[in-house]
Amino acid sequence: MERGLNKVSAGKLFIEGIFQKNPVFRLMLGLVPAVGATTVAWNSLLLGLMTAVVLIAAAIVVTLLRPFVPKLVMPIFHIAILTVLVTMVQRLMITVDPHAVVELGIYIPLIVVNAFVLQRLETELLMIPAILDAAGQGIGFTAALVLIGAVREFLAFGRIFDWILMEAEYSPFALANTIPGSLLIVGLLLALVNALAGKGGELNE
Amino acid sequence: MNDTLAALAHGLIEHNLLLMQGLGLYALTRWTTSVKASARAGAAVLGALFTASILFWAVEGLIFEGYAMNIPFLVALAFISALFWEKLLSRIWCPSEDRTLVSSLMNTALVGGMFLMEPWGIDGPALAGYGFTVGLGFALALVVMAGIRERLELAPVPRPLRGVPILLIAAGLTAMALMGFRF
Repeated sequence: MERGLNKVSAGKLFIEGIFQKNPVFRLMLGLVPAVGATTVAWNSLLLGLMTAVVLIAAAIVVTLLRPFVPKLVMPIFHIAILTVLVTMVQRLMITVDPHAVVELGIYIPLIVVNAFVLQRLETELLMIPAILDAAGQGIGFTAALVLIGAVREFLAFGRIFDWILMEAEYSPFALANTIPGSLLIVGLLLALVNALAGKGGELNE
Repeated sequence: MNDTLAALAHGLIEHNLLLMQGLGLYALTRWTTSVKASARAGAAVLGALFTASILFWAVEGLIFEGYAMNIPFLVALAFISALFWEKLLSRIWCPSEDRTLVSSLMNTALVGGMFLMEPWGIDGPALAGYGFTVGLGFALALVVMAGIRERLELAPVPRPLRGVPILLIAAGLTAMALMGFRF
């Protein structure tokens, strides 16, 4: 009976992480990569997947070692685990696609202090719910980044994932390729999601 | 004098961490509920960035050339600086509502500011000056956005836009104004 209940709540955590508790559009966390690293959809997808992999791995390690780490040093422990994992992921990406590492620049190291990653690690769950929660949040974060990246790439260059959609008479909206333009676009997308969800006016912690 | 003014202009306006680099958005959304809170948050980040850049200057020669190996060093420097200022500020600002401030100093503005030093080619004594000017630029931007947010609270904003969306739009428009400056 308890195992059955655990399965239901773990599955619910996974789905909620993608929709009701989407890190960018509902919890308003992880806004720095959402604004800064989404110049093109491909970079958004890569960064989202890297963040998801780091989050899932960190959730596993933290869940395993939590009983042995004093509460006082838990923040240091989280930062240390994330630093090791992000360094490993960056090393791996340099061998797979060094161009992407150059393009993403400082946003890969910033995964270490990503607010939604740190908040996820603070939740105390059993192993399976922790993995599913991390996976759901990671997928939700990636989906949000890809959406923002697709909008920005279309407005700035007339293409999405390098598929040219508008060419001849289209004048690129160059501001979408800058941080100020990205702040505007992300703000408007957040408002659109609020309108669709029938919410607004509060931080959904 | 010209170099000092140029460095100040770069840190405050052209390379502003909050508005032109898009870093520290957690601080923008959580710590700008009042001008006083944003001034405290800005001062904390300024102190942490200045200390971290001085530490970076001190250990510069020990950091490996390979880019990936910089992550542990720079994160450690940022963490030491953040921990120092957290302990210092928790003695000065005891009220419980500031606990989230002092425990969140390890944020993207601090760490991002450290990682931007390498691409911008800043080294030697300029690191300390850079740490101070970008920290000051971040603090000032935070206070300005807090003032704007206080006025937005009183404005008739449509419900879907209330809170973070209109704040980001206001930040984007303010950042567009800064784009007009070139040094």
